[in-house]
Amino acid sequence: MDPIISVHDLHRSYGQVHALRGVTFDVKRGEVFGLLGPNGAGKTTTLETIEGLRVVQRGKVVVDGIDVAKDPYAVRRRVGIQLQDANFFESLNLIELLGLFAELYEKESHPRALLELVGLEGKARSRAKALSGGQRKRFSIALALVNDPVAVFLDEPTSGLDPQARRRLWGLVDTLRERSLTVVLTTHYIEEAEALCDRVGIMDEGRLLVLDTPRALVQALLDRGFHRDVEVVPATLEDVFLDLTGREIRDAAD
Amino acid sequence: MRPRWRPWRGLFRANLITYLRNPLPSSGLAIVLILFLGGIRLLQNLGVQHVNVAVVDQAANPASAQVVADLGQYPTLTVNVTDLATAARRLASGAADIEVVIPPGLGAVDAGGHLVPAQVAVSYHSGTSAESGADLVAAAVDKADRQAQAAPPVFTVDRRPVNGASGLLVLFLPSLLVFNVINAGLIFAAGIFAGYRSSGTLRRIQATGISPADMVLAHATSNVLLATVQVLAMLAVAMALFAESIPFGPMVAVAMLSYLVFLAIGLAVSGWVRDPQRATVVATSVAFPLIFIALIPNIGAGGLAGAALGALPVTLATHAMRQIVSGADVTSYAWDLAGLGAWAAIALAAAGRVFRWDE
Repeated sequence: MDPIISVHDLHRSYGQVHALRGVTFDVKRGEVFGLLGPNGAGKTTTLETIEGLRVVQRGKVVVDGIDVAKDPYAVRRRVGIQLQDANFFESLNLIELLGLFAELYEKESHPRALLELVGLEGKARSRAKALSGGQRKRFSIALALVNDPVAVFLDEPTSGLDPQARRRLWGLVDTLRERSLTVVLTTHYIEEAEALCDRVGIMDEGRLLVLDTPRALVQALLDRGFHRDVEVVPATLEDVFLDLTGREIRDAAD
Repeated sequence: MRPRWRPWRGLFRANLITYLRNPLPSSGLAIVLILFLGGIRLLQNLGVQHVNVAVVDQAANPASAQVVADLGQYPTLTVNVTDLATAARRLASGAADIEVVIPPGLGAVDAGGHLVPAQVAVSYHSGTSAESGADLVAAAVDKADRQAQAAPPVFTVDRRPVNGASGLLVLFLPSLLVFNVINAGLIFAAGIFAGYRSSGTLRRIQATGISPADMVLAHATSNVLLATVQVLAMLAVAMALFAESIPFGPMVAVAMLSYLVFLAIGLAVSGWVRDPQRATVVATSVAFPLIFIALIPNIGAGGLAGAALGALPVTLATHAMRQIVSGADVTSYAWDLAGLGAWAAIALAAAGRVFRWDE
């Protein structure tokens, strides 16, 4: 099967700073693909170049058959984008914002269904500025789905969220996977990449160091003779937190 | 890239909802300027010297009633019909400026059917505004005299005001309209745009694949509509307050052309200056001297400085509006329109060149 996203020898510089140094990878249709790396590794630059938000300086990026360098507008209209820090028209409520984005994409509007999908049906008449951090992240994903995208890009979707809100967002990504939607996400949380992604690429200093399934990456490390003294811990502090505060998400809490 | 209808409609509606839900930032200055117009009118009224006239109608017939009614037609006269003793007391105390006593014989006829001569007594304080009031009383009595004798006037006066509106209206209305247009276009709209950019709202909209042209067009049209409503409100209030007729169409056309110029300058500033707070400072720094020029029409600069001032969009706009309010025809402000059109083209091109989605 042809990849839905193909990135070949992608370079990007900001003045003297080389943000990307020959990044190459493909994303298969229907998979959850993760870019993992520390801050400044080039994850967001890679993502935004694929999305057509940044100019392709060198290399080639093709999304669903469209050359991003040639028609970035067409790519943006076809994919769903959740930015790391995005704001909306703060005076509009969620229904109105979803309606606005349907107009921007020139698509039919199904605001109630989208709000139900992300668990915000009770906030339909709330304004965006009244949402908590976790609710804003989930609403961003609802906006990214307005145009029935061929792929969804989530840039650090759980950064700044507490464990409950993060788990809830993981559940949302699983829902997208069940709908056979291609998801490309960036994260610097190792456990998040392991829990969510079918394949993970690890980036550092503008380079893609490895790319495979989480299990295969671990096996490759072990095959190279890696050894760690394992101490079996039956529970973690996060388990304590979730046990005390509940695994069910309370809207006020996220 | 061709502008698209649905994105434009969505953004246009979103902007209008934002303005309606935040009326103070979007229309606060227009409301203040409308109140200012009311204040000007009030001061104008206070400045007019009213003359209190105490009338004693001893004739109490149709002829005397006509004289009293004619006196009441003068806007500067305040007429009170009373008895002789009260009128004398009010004149003495200063409560009345003029005492007019219409004798019983006014309008009466003798046995032969001829009108009986009668003399209206007018008492007033000399050396005061009552003297002009006394002239008006004399004119009213003279009119009644001619009517009683069925003598049509032979020599008459044809009053032709050279201005289409009162001097205060010509002076202030264009300045206030341009003040509002500069604020709404250069400061408010540019500030909103810079705010959208700094908050990431523009970048999120960019991610939907709409073009800068769609974005700017939607922003410009929703703001032009807001400014049009404000201009119409100010014109309507001015017409109602000053009881003057102002050509709505040409005034709105000049206001909107000016608005487009200042909006484009504001967008250019917000695109050119990266930091949104600095952008607001720069926009305000550009706007304030222009507002100063708009409010003070006769700076009196000559030579090169005068020519430069005359070419500024603010000068062109205020001059064109003053011509319109004064009742002049389009030829007297055609060059102003051409100049504003040139400014709009230049400023829009500059705004397009420096447009940025993010900081």
